[in-house]
Amino acid sequence: MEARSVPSLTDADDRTLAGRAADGDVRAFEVLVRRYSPLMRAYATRVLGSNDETDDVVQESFITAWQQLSTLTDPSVVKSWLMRIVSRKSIDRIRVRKLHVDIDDHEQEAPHSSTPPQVAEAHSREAALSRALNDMPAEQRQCWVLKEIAGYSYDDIARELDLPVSTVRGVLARARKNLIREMEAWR
Amino acid sequence: MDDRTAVTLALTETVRNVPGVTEVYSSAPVVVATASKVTQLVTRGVVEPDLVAVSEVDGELVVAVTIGVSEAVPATQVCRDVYDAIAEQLAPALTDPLQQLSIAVKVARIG
Amino acid sequence: MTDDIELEGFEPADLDGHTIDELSDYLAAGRQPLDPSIESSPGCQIALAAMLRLRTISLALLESDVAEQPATDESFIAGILNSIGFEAQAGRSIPVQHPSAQASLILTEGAVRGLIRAAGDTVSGVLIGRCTLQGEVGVPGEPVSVLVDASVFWGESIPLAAARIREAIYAELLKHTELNIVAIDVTVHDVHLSRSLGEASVEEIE
Repeated sequence: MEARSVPSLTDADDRTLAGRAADGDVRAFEVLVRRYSPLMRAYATRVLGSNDETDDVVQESFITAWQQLSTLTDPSVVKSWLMRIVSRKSIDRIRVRKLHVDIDDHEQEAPHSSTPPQVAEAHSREAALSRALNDMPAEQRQCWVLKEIAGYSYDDIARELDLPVSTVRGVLARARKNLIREMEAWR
Repeated sequence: MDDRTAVTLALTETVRNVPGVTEVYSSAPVVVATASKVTQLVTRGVVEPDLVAVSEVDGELVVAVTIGVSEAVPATQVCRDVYDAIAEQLAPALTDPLQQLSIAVKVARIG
Repeated sequence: MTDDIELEGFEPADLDGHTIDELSDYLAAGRQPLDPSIESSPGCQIALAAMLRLRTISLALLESDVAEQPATDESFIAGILNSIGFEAQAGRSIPVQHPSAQASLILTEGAVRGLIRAAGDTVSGVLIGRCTLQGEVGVPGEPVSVLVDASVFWGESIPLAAARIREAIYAELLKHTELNIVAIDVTVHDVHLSRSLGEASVEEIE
């Protein structure tokens, strides 16, 4: 039997894991992948509006993270750093979709055949919000998720989505009103 | 070309036999998967790449190898032993005494 | 796109002249500086409460999304781990001396960091984090300092652990490299609560 004087990596904090991964420790990186995959998938699914491309986006995000980890100056913020990467990858997907589908409107971006996320939470207030988000124009949903779930500023969103800040403000204003109306009606 | 392959195989075997060497890494760059291929890349190493790279650059014979070494033997010593083993094996093959030679040994992992 | 979604109870007329956007910014700023015209307006208070509820539900939504994620597929993880190489972390080249001009012998910085990590991890109750080599590692004989981030688990003496980490790292660097190590600085950044700390500690310093 191997005598273990080393505490398990699974119990290590983010700072330790990200620091080791930045130095090339694949096992530490694997612990990070297991720790944050569910969050990143949930989040990417919200931004994308469906889970069709979630796995690809999250895998790409982790591969990019591995390549860029050594540039992360403060390893303790690896969680929010990963969220930034997955945001960007999700947005890239949306851009590609836009080019392919060639639509000027946002309504049909999420194909109706795709699985709506979280059917199981019916009857809860989260379900009401989930439905409201899914029914919203994609641009409003994306801006909302970036602002309220990822905590992006208006400027960040404008940069990521390549839109003027004024447009982002307008889109968010509409999203906010839409959601308040839905949620207040649900109450 | 076949000569080159034979030399590569023989040198790889030689390097593997140096005490303290635990692994000889591929000299080909590791595949960086593109987005769409990620999910298919569950297994790697379908193509067996050259392990010891032998090439000729401007008349100079260049041999390069990347290895992993054990914790038990000093890495610097293993590194020099690998160089010596390669140099020794190549010596009789170098018919032209003026042939320029360069041997690069890189230790990418210790322990 | 139209900008004229009417929302009963949330229009400027209901909000004593304020708009939802203003209130949103006000909320984002943590209600600072305090605006009496907002704080004393019943309409604004209702709107602020609605926005706070919405924010809370948004965060709860992501949490429930996470909770409902299926267990992470092993092939998904394998897909990631099989696509990464350790070139990204190889770092600088650290020369190994050899009398022959034909020889170009190096240790990668990544290999040396791995060595340092493994050495530090042998100390009981310790997990090494980030490790940095400061100095011209590419030039033989130049002074090099090692900076190590370490977490020491609860119950271990921190100064003692730090001393042992330094000792273990120094011994390994001396054995495997030709670096001129002038300092090993250990930063203990976190003290965990130990869950199941294996008691047996192996001294690998010889």
